[in-house]
Amino acid sequence: MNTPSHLHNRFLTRAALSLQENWPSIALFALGLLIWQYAVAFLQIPQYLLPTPSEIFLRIWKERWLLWSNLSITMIAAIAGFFLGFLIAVGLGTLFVFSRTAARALMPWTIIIRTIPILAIAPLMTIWLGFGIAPKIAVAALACFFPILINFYRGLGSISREIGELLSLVNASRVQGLIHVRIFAAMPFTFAALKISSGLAVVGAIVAEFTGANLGIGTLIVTAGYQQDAVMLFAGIIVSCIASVLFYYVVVAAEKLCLYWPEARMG
Amino acid sequence: MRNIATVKYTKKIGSTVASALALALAFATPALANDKVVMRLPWIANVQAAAYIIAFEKGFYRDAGLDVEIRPGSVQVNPNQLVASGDEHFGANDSPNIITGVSRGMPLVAVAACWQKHPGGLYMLESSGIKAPKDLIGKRLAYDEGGPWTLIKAMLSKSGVKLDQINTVNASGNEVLMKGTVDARSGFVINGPVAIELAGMKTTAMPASDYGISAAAEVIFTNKKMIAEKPDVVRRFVEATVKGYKYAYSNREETLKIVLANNPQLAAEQQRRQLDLQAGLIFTERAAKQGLCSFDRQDVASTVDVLREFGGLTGQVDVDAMINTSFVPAP
Repeated sequence: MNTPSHLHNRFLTRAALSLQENWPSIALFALGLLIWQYAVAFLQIPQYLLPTPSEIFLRIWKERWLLWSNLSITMIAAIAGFFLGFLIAVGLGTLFVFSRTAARALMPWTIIIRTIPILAIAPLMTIWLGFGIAPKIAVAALACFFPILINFYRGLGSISREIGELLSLVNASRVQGLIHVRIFAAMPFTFAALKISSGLAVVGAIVAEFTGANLGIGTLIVTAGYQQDAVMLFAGIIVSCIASVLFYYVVVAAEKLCLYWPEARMG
Repeated sequence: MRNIATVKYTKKIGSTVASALALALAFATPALANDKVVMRLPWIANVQAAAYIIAFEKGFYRDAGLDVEIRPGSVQVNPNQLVASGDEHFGANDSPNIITGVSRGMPLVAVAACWQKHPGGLYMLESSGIKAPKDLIGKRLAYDEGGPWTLIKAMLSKSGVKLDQINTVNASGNEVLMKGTVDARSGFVINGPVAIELAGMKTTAMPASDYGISAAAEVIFTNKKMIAEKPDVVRRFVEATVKGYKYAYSNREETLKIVLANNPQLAAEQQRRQLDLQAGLIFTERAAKQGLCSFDRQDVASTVDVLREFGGLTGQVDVDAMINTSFVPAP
């Protein structure tokens, strides 16, 4: 029976279990913060060089609405860029499976695009795409599409020889092979890439905000830099880290949902 | 921190081997070791840093008994922190930047204000017809956060123009102006317009200093420890740099050659024009009367007021503690 008290008990059990599993990381994290806090005081490091964690967390609390409103703008751009990058990568990867010529023609281009320094291209994106959300989405997509493409494409080709032979034996078309076999083979690879790209998308959006935006956590960080406000700078960095971590775990949760068959989880 | 450690180490070594060295030194030529100092530029080593480069290349620092290492700056590096921490000895920045650092608790002391007029201001295409702040009403203006923008806000306010009467957008680069996306942009009137003129378009500029906004640029600063422990080094550094200013601007062709040889990536014509424009900010009426790089308490206090009203400055600033005007040589 799912009575409220039942649910409550279940929640407590799960929380206890999770604590049991994760206590080393939690303890290390807490210890790190403590050392940071007391080292700054003990070594008399001035605030403008390194503020204490307590100063930073108090500031995050005090400016929570400002941080939240800017962070949400950055995250919308990052998530949109993440999906755009994902769609482009999946589209190109699928195309490459169907056409070796396309793969040979386009792969060098994707590598060239990959090697462009994001910090250098971001101002150009602002000039080309205007001052709104578009350049942020573009830079975020640019930052995350390549790892997804490489892993998705690699995953599509990762079926064993036996499965390949089976597919030809049953006269499966390329489309059927893709839909029924290759997509599933590619999923674990793709999710590994998505986990990497979740963080890259956030960094991409922030970098785009460095070069021209009115709002967003990147703008907040730049302004804090101009104001030489080290506490606010750290506050901006920390909330963007927290958001990236949350985004990462959303991808992890999606992975758990999508990779439901046992073999997928073994690798 | 690093330098302090190095000094202690040297002293320790010095005391243990002093007696052994004393004998050897007695027979050596009596030459005093130069004082090693690090100077951090606010920007790359282009003509903006002409005076330091000339003072170095022409031996003015060496003659003053200084062994100066000039380190270039960038957008990501603020000399304030490096000098405040004691890692480096001297830095240059505009006065708003130094005041902001002081308000964050940095023990900085300004010792010379070499560009008595700040280059911060607005510039636009001549075809826009914008000549005075009032002409900006209803127009589009691109700005980026930072020093010039604060001074421009003060200039607009002083001219009776409210910010909400202008369509402002946060955007970098000259391209927005050249493409006609905006009608005016914030920046430094010594280099932004030059790049556009070189691309073949006529420009006009509206420096905030023309509208009575007081701020200085290329202000040389050090930290309180240097003032207390090595005032003589500070004096020699300021004097040799002022000498560098005089030489650099009386011999512009040679200066240009030396700066370009130092950094071949620079565009010669752009640098030539910038050097000429800079001269107007440095060799002012006041410089002629009171000396190059001279400044006073009133200038800094007035900039503090501008920052409080338009630059979001909230922290404590003790103006008397953050300036020392005694190092600037008389004209």
